[in-house]
Amino acid sequence: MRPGAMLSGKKVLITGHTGRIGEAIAERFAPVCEMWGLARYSREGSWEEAIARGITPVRGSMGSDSFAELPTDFDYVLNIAAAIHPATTQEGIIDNCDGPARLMGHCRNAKAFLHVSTVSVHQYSDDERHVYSEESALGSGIGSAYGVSKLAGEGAVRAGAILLDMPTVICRQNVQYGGAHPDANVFEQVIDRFLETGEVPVPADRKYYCSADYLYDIPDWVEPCLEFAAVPATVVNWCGDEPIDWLELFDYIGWMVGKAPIFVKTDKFPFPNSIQDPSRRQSIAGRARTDWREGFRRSLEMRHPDLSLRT
Amino acid sequence: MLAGSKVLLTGANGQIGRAVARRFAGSCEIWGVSSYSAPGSWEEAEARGVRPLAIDIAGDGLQRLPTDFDYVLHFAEASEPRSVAEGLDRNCHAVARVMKHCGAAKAFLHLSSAWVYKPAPDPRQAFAEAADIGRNFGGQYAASKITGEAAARAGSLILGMPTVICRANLVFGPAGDGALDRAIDNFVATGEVQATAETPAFCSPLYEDDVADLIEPSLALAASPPAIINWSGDETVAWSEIFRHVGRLIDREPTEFGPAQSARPSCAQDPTLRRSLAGPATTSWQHAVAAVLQARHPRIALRDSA
Repeated sequence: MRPGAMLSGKKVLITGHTGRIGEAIAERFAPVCEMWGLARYSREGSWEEAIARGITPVRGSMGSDSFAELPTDFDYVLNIAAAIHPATTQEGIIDNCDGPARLMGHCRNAKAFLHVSTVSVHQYSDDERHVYSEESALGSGIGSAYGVSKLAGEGAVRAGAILLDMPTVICRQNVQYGGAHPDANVFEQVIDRFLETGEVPVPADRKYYCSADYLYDIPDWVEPCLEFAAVPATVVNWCGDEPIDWLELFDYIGWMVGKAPIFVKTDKFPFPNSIQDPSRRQSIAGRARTDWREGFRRSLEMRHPDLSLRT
Repeated sequence: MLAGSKVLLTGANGQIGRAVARRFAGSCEIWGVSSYSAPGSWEEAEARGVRPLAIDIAGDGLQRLPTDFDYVLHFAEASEPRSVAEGLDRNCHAVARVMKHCGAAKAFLHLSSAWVYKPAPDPRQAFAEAADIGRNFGGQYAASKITGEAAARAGSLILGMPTVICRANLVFGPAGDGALDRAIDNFVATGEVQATAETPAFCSPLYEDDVADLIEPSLALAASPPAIINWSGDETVAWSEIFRHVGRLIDREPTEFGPAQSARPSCAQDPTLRRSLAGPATTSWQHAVAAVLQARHPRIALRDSA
């Protein structure tokens, strides 16, 4: 299938397109389809940015709105919105479980529903090199209220798929990096802090590995995943092709910027180990376009254009 | 509320299903779905006044069922799912399938578990309905029940169906085959009691007949998005204390074995909402234990526990 062919000319709803992943996906597909956005648009200028991008914005909150102003005749739904810091699981469930269910009910005639979930729905493994496949144990070990509410979210879209006979795909996202989005994520905040201070936090009691993916590779996976949607819902890991060793990553970043990292042990390391198995995504969408070395180089170039990087 | 109505009861041959059937089969039309794999269970269901149907709700057997139920009591679950896929299919997808099939019902009651609550530092902590959820217990059990609650929420919102999620603690009684009943049977047979995952591990068990009292008040709470109610007894008690009491009644000292992976961690619940709707529990855990022993082990003469 030619990239863009599936969504071309279609009426597509995207939620959470003011966030990092949503923005990267909207940037790719808004020019070729009739894209509507559902978001809070609380960041100043984000409403105008949506219009400039060719998106028809509708202001709404996933968990509680009636979606009265939102059309119902979408061909595809890309549900990327998530509440990432719910104070309690109950609060998280309203946004991350009830929200997707309401949205599916509203867009019940869609051809397929893509739901972005997280590697945090798994039962945490103490083995720092454990590889989470789509079939790995689910649980409540990774993350806090967020991970549990996203596990509930998967349950909700699984139910929606069956109730509405709507082909659904659940995409479990690793940690992503890249770009100059105004909301630096925790990963990028760590990089920014390294550039400032030379310090890099490392977990006190383990090594840290992940399968971070480059933000601008993610849109490549949207159409193949929509094609993979089914009833009952299918699951695809969204992660990079290679496990990344945190120490090796910062040695590399340090080499590029000419600054040796000072590794500082902390009990409050922000990430759980999260190597994911990319093979299902590779089989339906091919290998990731961007190797992590190249991805972090481009990311630095975008976020810190004043730096001259060693090659 | 249920009198004269048409009721679908899934998990009809389980402990709660049978207690509910005993209470209501005389006054309403109950269709009881279960595997009925235990010899004689089909005939027993018929004798209770239930219309039994051997249907696997994880398959397409629901097509054999009528769709015009007034109320759905969904107790069927995989209590020991052997895989992620089985947990999702039986404890999440099945909820959606049943809700879809019975989309016109007046209310849907979904049985969940106390063991979805997030463990607290204090093992005596009695979780109220608004407490955080999230724990790993019973292999994929707790995780799949969390997706099951989510499925019930989604069904309620998508179908506009009033729904109530009932988080049950240990339910036990003479007719039972729950974890506590089986542990009592095992103690009587071997003198051994499984060690708990934590020491001490607390629970707030509920007598099976008290569960039947909760059906109508719980259905009356049903709403969209769903209401949640703890199904737990009035008292919080340590697992070890229950078995010391059993030991006193049968004059035998319990010896611990384990720890086993499946051993239950602490999970006490706040019964305030249940009490406000249905009043105090009618049977103390001490009386319930004696009733279990008398019914299941009638040859043992119980000592006066007082």
